Amino acid sequence: MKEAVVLDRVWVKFDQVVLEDISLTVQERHILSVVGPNGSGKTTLLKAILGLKDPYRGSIRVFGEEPRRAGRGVVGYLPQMNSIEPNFPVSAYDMVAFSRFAGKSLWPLLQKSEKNLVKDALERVQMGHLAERHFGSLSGGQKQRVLIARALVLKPKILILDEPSTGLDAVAQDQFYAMLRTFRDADGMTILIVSHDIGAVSGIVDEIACLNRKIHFHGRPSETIRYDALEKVFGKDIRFVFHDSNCLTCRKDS
Amino acid sequence: MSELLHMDFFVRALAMGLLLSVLFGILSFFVVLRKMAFMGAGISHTVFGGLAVGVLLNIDPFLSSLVFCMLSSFIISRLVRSGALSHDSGIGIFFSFSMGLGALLLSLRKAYTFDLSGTLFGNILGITPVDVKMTLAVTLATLPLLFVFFHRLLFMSLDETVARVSGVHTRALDSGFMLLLALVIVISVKMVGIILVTALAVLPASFSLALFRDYRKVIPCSILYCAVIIIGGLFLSYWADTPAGATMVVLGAVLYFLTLAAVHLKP
Repeated sequence: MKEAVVLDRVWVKFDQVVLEDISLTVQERHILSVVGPNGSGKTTLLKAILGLKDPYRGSIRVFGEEPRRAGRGVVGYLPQMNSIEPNFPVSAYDMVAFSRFAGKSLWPLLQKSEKNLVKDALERVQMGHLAERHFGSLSGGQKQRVLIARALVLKPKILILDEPSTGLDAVAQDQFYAMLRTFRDADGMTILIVSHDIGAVSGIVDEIACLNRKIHFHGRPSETIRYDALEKVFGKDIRFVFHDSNCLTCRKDS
Repeated sequence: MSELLHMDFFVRALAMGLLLSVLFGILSFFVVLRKMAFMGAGISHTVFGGLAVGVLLNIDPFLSSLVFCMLSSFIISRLVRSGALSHDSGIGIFFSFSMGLGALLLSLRKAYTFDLSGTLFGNILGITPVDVKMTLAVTLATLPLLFVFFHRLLFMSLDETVARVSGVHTRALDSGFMLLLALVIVISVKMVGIILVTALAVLPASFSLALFRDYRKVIPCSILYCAVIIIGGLFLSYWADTPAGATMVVLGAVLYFLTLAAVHLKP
């Protein structure tokens, strides 16, 4: 199995060090979730992998290339849904078509084949029938699907998602994660999810990494995550109850 | 009022107003979506410093204010991107620095008679045939650029990070947009003045976004609204014997508030 993303002893800082000695590998065709509380460096980790923030020590490779050289079409990125202005005057179709416009040269209009790719991407996430609807008027789950289609339309090898379950109810979350599993199984896509919610992702991922400035645990969700590792990531006052496919319960007093 | 159409200065003001309607109708759309209204105010106020530099150095004030404005918008944009300054602090500092510098430099040229009121609030009598030709040239050069980069600008306005990851050269595009905005603001100062030009950068898109949720409708509506307030303001100002720039802005604001009220009161 090939390595899709490799971080080797990566250090990143703004005014102070945010990520410390991070070594992490995402295998191709795997779903890896990085979990950690707010302020643990999850978004910085994503920025580093996306080539938006350079590490001052260590190296990052995305399919063997430096993140900025990995190029368009390799990475599909899904930002946090609340980062999008709800009144932005575009439809679901427009939202997906943006990705095709991004790499245009001088002639800025879409060819018929490109329009078909946009429609196909929307159909793929069962949003074809709502293509003309104003993006801001869609439900949280529908918006998330449209944003996935926007990433898919570039036919990426890896999909990177930032807090994808925020704002989704339990049913929408289940449907959303089922869709991600399909992308992995049917398309061989690699998926990297960043989340503060360990419970939401533990049932669907191949691997979990617990991050709070450092990586405190990296393994399969079926492995028992040592309590002291969780305590370092989420703090001492948290009680954990996992209800994933393995029904693993991990509590301080157990 | 038909006699107005035989007056050269009024025809020039009409022609320039129509051209500016097209430019501001499109640019205001991005200014509002990118939440850059204060940036528009900041750029327009730096014109004052540029004009004063031109007066002091005996160079064309239009040229000096153009260079000063473009330089200011470029520096603000870079400082904000580097994280050295927040957007509003950067604009606030340049805004006041430029006004202060302008007043200081003009005080050094006591013999020079400076049309302060015209600079701040506009003076349609000062619009020359060269101004109209320059506005036409800027419009003809700008429209193809906006056509080519329209969707990329829109994508960047929506989500700069995703646009960058998807292949948009966001830094170059942002710098290009800032320079274009500075250019259009400088050429329109003669008509509406430094203080009132911000209204043209904000009102058209705000009005249209209150009515439509599709950018294909918002932009034509912005252009039409801008033309109505500029041309309507010109005729009204003649009829009521009021300053043209101020009349356009008050007319535009009243239209906007009435529309907003109608939209919100609609059952």
